[in-house]
Amino acid sequence: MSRNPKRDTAVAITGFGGLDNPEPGLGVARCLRSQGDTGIHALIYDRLATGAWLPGIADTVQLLPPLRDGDAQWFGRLAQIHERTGFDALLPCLDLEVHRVAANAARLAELGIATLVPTPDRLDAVRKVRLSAFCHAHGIDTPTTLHVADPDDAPSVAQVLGYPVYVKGLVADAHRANDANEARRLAAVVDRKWGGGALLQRAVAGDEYVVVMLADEQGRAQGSIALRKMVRNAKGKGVAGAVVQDAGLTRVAHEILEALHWRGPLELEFVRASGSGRWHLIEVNNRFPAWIALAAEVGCNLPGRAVDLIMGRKPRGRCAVRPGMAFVRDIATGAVDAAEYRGVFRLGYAQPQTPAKSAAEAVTAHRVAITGVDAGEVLMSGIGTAEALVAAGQRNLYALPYGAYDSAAHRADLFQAAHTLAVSEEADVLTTRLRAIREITGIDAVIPCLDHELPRFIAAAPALEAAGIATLLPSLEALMAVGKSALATWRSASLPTPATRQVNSAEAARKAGRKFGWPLLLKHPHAGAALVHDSRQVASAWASLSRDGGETLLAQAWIDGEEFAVAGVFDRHHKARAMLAIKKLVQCDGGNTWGATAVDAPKLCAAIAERLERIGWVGPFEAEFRRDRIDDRFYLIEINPRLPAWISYAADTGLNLPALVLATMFDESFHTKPVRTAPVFVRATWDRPVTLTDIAALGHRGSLDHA
Amino acid sequence: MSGVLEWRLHPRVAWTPDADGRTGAVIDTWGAELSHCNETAWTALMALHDGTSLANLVSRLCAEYQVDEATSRADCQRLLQQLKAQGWIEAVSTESLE
Repeated sequence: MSRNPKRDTAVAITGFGGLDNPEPGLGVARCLRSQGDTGIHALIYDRLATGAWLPGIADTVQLLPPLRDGDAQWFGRLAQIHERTGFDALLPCLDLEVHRVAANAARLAELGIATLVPTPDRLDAVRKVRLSAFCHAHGIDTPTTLHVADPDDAPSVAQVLGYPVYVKGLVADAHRANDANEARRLAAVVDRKWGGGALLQRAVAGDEYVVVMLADEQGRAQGSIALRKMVRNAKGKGVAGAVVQDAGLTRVAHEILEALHWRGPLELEFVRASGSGRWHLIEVNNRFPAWIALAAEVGCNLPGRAVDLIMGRKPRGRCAVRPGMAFVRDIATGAVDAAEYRGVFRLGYAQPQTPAKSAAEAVTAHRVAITGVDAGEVLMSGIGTAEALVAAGQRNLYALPYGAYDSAAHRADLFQAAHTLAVSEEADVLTTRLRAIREITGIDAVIPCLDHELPRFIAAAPALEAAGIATLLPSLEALMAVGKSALATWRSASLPTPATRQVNSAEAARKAGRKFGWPLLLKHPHAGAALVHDSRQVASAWASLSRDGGETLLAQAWIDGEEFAVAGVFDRHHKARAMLAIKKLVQCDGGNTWGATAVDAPKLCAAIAERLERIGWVGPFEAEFRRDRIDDRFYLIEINPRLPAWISYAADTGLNLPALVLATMFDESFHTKPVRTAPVFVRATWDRPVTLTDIAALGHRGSLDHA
Repeated sequence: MSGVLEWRLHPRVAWTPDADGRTGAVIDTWGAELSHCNETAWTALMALHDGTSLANLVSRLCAEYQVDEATSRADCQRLLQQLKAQGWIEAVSTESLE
């Protein structure tokens, strides 16, 4: 594997874990790619590193051994990769790696691998357990932070601090706990992951800000970007942020940098206290943040400058941050040659290849409105639907977001414009709004992609049809027949479901656990689920799921095994037109699919088709299954009454189901052409640059034109 | 020659009109603050974008919204003080040849 002679510098980057809590590697790579002259080798540990496989990101993907295997293994492998690729510099993007690289910087330099990391004593000074001491020594405000060695002690310590508290791992991760149950549960989670107990930090009321900085070998600042977190999801993660220019924040950040005697990248997290306006330092991270891709868009490409410093060059250009820019957390998908994907886990390296796509079939152009266009909170399927329709040659797509920060509403590569919908239960409100949107855009079809809105769309369908807006939807009865509660009563030899019972209290849920065994899956009838490992966790899971006011949950026996899904489209005669079965290769804790491969599952498809035909289904669906690890039996877990979030993959397999939905709506012919060897589907979090002006337009005017 | 003090929106302020063009959203790009303006505030902000003196602003609002001069002047002074405190406007002196 020879170096690409066109590239001046080759950089090895880690941290391509691209699930819903993304690591910084992909953002760093995007910054370097934007400069055009850097070779990139993505160093990954496992399948979770989906970001490494996205088109145009990495020249090669290289497998590293786990950090827990020790220095000898890790550095030995790094040396091998270096020998093969000749990369010049290493940018570690995971907290633990930075410590390891710092302790071995000289050794790496002898190998010809340049780095820019702090000295080990500087890293130790701002370890999470020592942050309070550092702040106290330098007169920096910081919230009270206490350590618990035993997660069971978390509630009593949290009581002292007052709720809410942040529960943090000793290395990474932070979660917000609102009560004693959550404090204990989350402390156990971080202790399991990182060891050493947990840190509990008092929550300071105020807005959250972060500052990313870069220091050279002498500790001098070589650029910084300050960001205000505009939107946080239910897990407390920032999913939208905007660049700010604040003299006070800049001053305190530079004072901290000077006190740290730092080298390399740094992220400082602050809360600006609501009352006093004082800046409280809540965390120091020893690497670039996950949102760093924005740096290339705002005139301060810090990763690019870091590489210049590492290579002994004067950083190019000035670091002049452009205000008015922001990011929203979206997703990007890719299809990877299956042989290359397998290759990295067998041979230790791969050169990502995107299989050539077959030419899109000529289709009748429609003007299609699509809901479910956000990836910040819940990964919605409107995004994949739009991607597949674009791949099919449909150009006139219109996003229907519910909020200004709905990520894909800002995507000019997918949508001509975005028009907001109001959160309302009334079908006539929806009809009126869609009629108004049709006046502006000429839409002739709408594809709803969110479970909760389907009853409203079904009720509105006749009026929409009369207004010239086509839909392809089941009846309300059919919709009810595939709900979680109804599914629990299905009895079918060809489509067994796990043992399920309705529970109306935490105690009833514990009883179900004693009967079905642990872990137990607790599900809200409409949305949300929690995997409960023992009876002690039931209270917290119950409180979290029943918070919406639902007093009855479903307790379901957990099927240990691999997860599969079948997506398909039924026509108005209740006949299945086509189906696509996948095996999920990568999933996040929330159950979303971040990697998958198409599989041949004719019996599974036939069984679900037969059942849905009996129910009288119309439109798209996704059925989710688990295959029992012991007896290989497939169990039906859930039916989603719409296209799934991974559906852009359908276009890559030659079974473009969203395009088929549209063709079915209008009784048009559409030919599916399955590819001979299906690629592997990958998805990663992708922060999209947007302007505050666009966010304001969508939020206040209710529309945003991309044309 | 006498100087006339004019006020102008600072470059940190961006805006986007609503569909009717009579109201809109204003953005402080330095602080990432988004606000919505009613008609009066929008008219004032658009005048400040072009640059305007206190007197001209008062006259304009009197004419457009049929308010008496004293009320308009008090409102405009309050508005300018608030915008100045936020850093949203900067003073620009212009020379008058009268």
